[in-house]
Amino acid sequence: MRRRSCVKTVALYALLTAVGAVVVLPLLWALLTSLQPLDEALRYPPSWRVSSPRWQNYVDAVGTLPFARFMLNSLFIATVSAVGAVLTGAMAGYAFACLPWRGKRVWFAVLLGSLMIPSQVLLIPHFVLYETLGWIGTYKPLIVPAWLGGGAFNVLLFHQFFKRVPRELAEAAALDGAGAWQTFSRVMLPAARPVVITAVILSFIFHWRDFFRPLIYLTDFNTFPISLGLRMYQTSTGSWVNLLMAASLLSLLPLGVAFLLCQRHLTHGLRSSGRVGYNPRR
Amino acid sequence: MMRPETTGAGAKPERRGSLTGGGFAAPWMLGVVTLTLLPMLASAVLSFTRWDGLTWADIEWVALENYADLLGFEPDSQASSRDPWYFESLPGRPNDPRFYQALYNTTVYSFAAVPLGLAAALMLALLLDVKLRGMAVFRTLYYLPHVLAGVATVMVWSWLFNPRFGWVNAAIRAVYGALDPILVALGFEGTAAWPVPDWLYSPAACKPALVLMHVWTAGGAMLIFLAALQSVPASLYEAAAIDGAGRWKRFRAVTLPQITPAIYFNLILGIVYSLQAFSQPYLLQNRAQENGLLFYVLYLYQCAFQEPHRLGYACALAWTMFAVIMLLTLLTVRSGRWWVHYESEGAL
Amino acid sequence: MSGKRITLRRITFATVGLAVGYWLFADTVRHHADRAADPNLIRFSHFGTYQDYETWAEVIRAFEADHPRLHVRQEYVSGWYGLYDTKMRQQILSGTLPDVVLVQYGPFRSIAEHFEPLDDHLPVATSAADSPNELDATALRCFRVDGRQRGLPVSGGNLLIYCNPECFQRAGEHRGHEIALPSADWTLADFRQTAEALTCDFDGDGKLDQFGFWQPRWVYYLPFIWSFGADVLDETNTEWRFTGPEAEAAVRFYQQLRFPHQVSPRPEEVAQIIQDVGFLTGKVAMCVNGPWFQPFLARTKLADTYAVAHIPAGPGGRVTRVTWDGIAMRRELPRDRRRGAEGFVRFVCSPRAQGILARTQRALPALRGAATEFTRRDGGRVSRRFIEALSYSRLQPQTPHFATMDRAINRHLRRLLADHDRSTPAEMLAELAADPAIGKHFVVTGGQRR
Repeated sequence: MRRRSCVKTVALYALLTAVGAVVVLPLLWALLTSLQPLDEALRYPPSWRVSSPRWQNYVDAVGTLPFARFMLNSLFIATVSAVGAVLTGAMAGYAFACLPWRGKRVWFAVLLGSLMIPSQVLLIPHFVLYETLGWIGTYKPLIVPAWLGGGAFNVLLFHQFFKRVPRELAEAAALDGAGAWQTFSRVMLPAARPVVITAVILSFIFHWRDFFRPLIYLTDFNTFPISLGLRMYQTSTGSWVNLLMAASLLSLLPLGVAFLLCQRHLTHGLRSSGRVGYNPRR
Repeated sequence: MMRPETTGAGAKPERRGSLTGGGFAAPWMLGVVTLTLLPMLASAVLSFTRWDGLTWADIEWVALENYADLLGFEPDSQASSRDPWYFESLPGRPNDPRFYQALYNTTVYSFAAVPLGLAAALMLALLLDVKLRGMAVFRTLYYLPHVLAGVATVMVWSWLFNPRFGWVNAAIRAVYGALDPILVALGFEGTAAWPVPDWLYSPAACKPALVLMHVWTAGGAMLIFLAALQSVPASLYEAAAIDGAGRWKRFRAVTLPQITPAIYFNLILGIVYSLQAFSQPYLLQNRAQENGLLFYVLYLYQCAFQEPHRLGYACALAWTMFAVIMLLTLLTVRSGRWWVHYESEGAL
Repeated sequence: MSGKRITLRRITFATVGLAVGYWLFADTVRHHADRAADPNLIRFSHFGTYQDYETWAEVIRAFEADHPRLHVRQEYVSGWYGLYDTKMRQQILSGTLPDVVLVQYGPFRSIAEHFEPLDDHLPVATSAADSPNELDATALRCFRVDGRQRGLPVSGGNLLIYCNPECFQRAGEHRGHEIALPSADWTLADFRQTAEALTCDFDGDGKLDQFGFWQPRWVYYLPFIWSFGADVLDETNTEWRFTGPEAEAAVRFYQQLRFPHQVSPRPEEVAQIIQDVGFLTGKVAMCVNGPWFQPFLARTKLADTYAVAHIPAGPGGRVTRVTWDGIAMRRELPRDRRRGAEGFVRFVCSPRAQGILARTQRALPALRGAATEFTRRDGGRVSRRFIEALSYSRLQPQTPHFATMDRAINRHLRRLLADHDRSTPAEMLAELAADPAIGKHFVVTGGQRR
């Protein structure tokens, strides 16, 4: 804990707030729009002031669609997918970074190559595969791919960070009698805690925002995630902007709160001590 | 490149290690084979056919015709010099001018967006890497743009970038207004005639608008940099402080080398993802841009899923993109050997 | 002790593995086992906004009330047609197309062969002409492919001119004399005059504050092109016909909306907003739009005052553009499911369902008799014009190369407007006809009369 002069602290806060203001501007605009009636929301020049906040918009946004249902669906899909993606991604990243196995080089080339093909071309083979498996209309096409490695992004992320973990950690665990899985779960994963949290957040957000795959693979209205729900506010002639903004902000709220709560875990890691040991009795 | 014996817990016999390594990677391997490799092969085969995607029986083998249509030129004809990708020694008019337009748009966007996005993410992460009260709030705030749902962001940004009343141009005009008296006092012309960009409604300024949007959502890369910064061992900083290194020296000698893996990671993924940018151009395109936002994957999508449906051609487009991305990635990976620094031995 | 632990762990793993395996593959087995499925189930898919979802839910409820044993599964795709079309094509390819689908007529021709001919299910017509039990004739033609009726029309929209009365009033005060709303038989000359009167600079600062007419994109300008007697394609939609003196007159009229006497705003002058917003906020007094604009306007302050005028008549008469959405039944359904699906199709074209659909005023009903429901909300004050306009509505040209044509026309029109001093309509049309994109897909001959 370095002591910092008062001036520097104030300057830092000022800078943080200034940048924060720029970053948050669009959200502020969304908030303003969500409180206006349709006439005013579409007016130009867009008004900075809201004459009388129309909280009814939020009631309308939530009332028109089964909003809670959609949020719960999104929560389910995103959570299960994020857990799976991070787990299997970490396993594969660990394997690439720290373990010797035959054909590793070839598979790494495959890993990089899998990033480079636009996913739109894979849509038809995927659809045919899922239809043959009878999975169309269920959540499986959304969840199972996450549990099968979660995509190249997660694997590469963990690969990069596991490469930075000193070999001594794994060797110490091996000396203590740890098996492969224990080394991984008790030593390596905790050591990469910031990365794990990051990967969970990024995977969660990715699955939360995804609308293309749920649109193609889901059929029952009650199983829709919120990403599809928001599309219902758009018409071909423009959209009900105020309702759309209200719904978007509401769907954003739990994510923001969750992020706020768990972002402190991003500060842990090897920084302070660098010593994480393996206890066989745990 | 990689010598298996030098990585990992080297005390285990190689065969057992092979089984363990394979075991850990098994879920991913299953996924990549069934969901990526096999479909990729299918699309490669399809790129040699003509097909509209409705009935299996309609697949028609045309060998390299798709690639010829894609990359070929019509001899004895003249390409239009109005197109931004035009250059003099073109061997005629392209068979598919939209392909070249898309390629041009995407590479220009990528070359601008990736470095700027990385720089912004790194600066934000550095800013957030201090111990101050209320840091949690700031971190959440800076990350929120990444979270905001795609379509809502588009609406928000199309208003912010509105040429007449958007806040972006209002800020620019404010800057002009502040500069004006200064310039006039110095004897130059005022800023009255200085142009204000039309952003999403002009062919030239629409890509910068998208680049700025990309930079705004730098929150994702910022998180990765933040995690990397937090993982730098404190002992290194202490050692540097003992040696008398100032703040800038510490950054250059300790921080930067330690986070090169994160930079490397973000760079490769940045290149790969920005070349495949789809949802923003899809949502933000309009006629006034004159194809300025016709990005590669958007064009691919139009060929595959809009009239007249040409799936074989779209697959040819996909594989051409694959070749381009692979080239760029190989260059980056090769260069990584010089500037990426790992704690443990062994490259990649 | 360690032996016991290993066994317990093995049992746990085995149980978890079995559970996961069941979760993964139970549906697979089920899917392949009962392909024949429930004979009382009808799968119906449609697209649209939440309003559309609720409207169709109401139709389904009414159907199920009439047929207690049948059950309709509503497979809704949120949003507009693009991704719905993608999904439908995937379903066709894999053989999992729903029993009944909502379709747009534009892309219908390319997928028509996958649907059952419905010639036997047309509503029974009485001998009287204009029977309320008949479906609109133009609409029926949309879904008639190669002599078979592959789909039935459900709802559609034609283009008319919306008028913002507040703009008329403001302009009238500014000019010192009342500007009347358009009459039912106004002509292109009247249109021009009204638009000029409505274009005003209220505060005298040299910049126009209100404009008479929103310059539409060419697809919405089609009614005017046709009213001039010109045409874009021929009846078979394969030959390029956008040439000749009538076409030049149409393009010149379009150009003159901006120069020399401006009645339409340049994009910069309206901050690049879209047409609907320009109309709503009173920046522009008139715009071309369809019945789908009505539910939107009904939620704004213009709800009770906006007016709609017929397309002005020109040398080619009075013509407007119409498009239709329809309903189609999948081919080769098993006998028992077919009866249910046919029943649903017939119900959707029956007065009851058409009434439910028409009441939202979002689109015109295909069934003539449902027109009373369409006009119910505003008592026909405005909505009856859309019904009247059906008598002079033409179908939008239907071709698989529509996107290419759309892009080419837009490109050339934009250049014409940008270089208005240097190119004439005749030159623009010649360049357009010579454009390789057009030449590749359509037969281009010399300027010919229709």
